[in-house]
Amino acid sequence: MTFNIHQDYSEDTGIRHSKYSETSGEDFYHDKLNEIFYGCYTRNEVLELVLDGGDDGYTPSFLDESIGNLVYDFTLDVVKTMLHIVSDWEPYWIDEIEKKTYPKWEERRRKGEQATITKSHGAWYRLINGVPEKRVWIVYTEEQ
Amino acid sequence: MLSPSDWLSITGIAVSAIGIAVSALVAIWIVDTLQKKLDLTHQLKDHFSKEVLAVREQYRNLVRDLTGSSQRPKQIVNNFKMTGIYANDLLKLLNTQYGTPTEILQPFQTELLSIATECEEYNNAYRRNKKFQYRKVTIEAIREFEKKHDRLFYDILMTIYNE
Repeated sequence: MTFNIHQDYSEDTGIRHSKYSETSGEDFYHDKLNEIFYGCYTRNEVLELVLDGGDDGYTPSFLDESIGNLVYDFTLDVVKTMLHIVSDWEPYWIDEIEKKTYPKWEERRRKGEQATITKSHGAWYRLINGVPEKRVWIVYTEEQ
Repeated sequence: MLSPSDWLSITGIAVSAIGIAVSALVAIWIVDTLQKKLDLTHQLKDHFSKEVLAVREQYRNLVRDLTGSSQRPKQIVNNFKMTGIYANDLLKLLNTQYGTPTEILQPFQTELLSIATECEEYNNAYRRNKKFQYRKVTIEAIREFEKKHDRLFYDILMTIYNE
């Protein structure tokens, strides 16, 4: 399956957290990416995530938060196998994600350092012993 | 009257002369071709080096804008995108021609943008896309980054002229 962020989600992507922007990395993950990736996982299908298109650029935090959450919930091994990030225009994002986001969020997953959420989200999928479970894994509180 | 042996000598001399002339012409042609090729190679290197310096200028302008004037958050990201794509296209060509690593400017394309977009003042201005100025601590981090990574453009030029 191919998903183009600018065409299929938003022309104008934001920054890391919903508290500070519309269409943030946090929003993208909870509103789209988790569900789409779960679908691909159950169909044993690679998700081709296309970054190109559109006039607006990405902030590093948007990509880090959305793809990092994916690593946290589905493990790095699964994400490396089933997520193919594509960018001819800005291939440096792929490098950045593979060299920084992947190891950083896998480390957080191992240590149990969950993502910070800045608003309430509906239930989302997480792999538990290789089996997807859908739950509200983090409950939003004002203090967050 | 020339005897047959004289004719043979004259013919031999003529053939040798023609041979020398042809060899000379071939040598001139080779030197000329090589020179033209060298000139073209040199011109190509000069052209690419100008392009590299143009990319450096664009990043210097971005740094100057970040540290010197108030800007809108979304404009910063879009300026980085345009410069990043321009640099990427150039680096692809340089990689093919001179083996320049395509990821050599990655610190400018991602790390500098991280410094500029992952700070409190940027976050606070983002939603309304209102003009803001960076705090002193962020400006120092940006200047420190530039000081540390400016040499990358010389590294690119080295890959061009060392080839």
